[in-house]
Amino acid sequence: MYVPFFSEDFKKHLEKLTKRDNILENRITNQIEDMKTDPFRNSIELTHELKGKRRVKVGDYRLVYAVCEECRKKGYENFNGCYDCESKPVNSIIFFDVFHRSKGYDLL
Amino acid sequence: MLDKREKGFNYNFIRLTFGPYSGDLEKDIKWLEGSNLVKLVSVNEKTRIFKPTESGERILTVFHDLFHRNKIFTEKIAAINSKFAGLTLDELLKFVYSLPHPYMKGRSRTIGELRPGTILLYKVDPKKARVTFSLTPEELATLDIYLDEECYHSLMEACESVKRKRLLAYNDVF
Repeated sequence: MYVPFFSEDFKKHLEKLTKRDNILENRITNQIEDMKTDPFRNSIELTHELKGKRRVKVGDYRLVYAVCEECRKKGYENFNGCYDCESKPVNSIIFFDVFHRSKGYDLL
Repeated sequence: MLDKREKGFNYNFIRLTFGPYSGDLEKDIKWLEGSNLVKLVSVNEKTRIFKPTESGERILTVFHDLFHRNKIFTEKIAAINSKFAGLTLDELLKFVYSLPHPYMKGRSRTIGELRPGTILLYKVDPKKARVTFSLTPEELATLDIYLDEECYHSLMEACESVKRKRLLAYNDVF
């Protein structure tokens, strides 16, 4: 099982997004629960300055995170630069942010 | 690009009374403006000139490798831009209207002779394209974040926060 950790911004943005939306909160919670078993499923690796991070969709919302196991294996520590990297077990998932995809181009 | 079935930034264009027009291009310009990626720097009754904003420039810089990889398209666009961008609208229309219609069979007619509404250019069918703009799903997902300024800044702040502050456990959040 993987263990999730969250940035303060993730918590702040999640609270804002789910303030009046219990359904969304449940969907995001379920997604995170699923990711505890397999954090790679249905996700996509990001590139360029976001290298080392992954993105998963929950409807029109996006979660951006990193899997410590992958980060260490592929040497992405410098890209992610988490504050207390050494103290986190290899089976950790670091959730950076959650946001609504509002103005994306229709290619996706 | 159409002749060589190169699928880059293709648009459908039709002949209208005051010149060739593309509804898709108009939609994309509005989207680029609305997303603060380009800004209108000069406008008169006939011409609109757009330039990349700071956010637009940043994306062009960060994704330089992507555009370089697709230089078959970007070099052609740059060449067309340097050849025609300096022309006035009247000069440009005069040139375009003197061109023969690229695909009309039978008697050769110039674009200026065609009726309004006639299709001038069309999008290349991706299945029939010989070359397409190369973009991986991973790059597309990354670009999707960069293209939404609000999401991009939100994520950048979160990344900084992760570098400086203690992370929260599941029970601190849910």
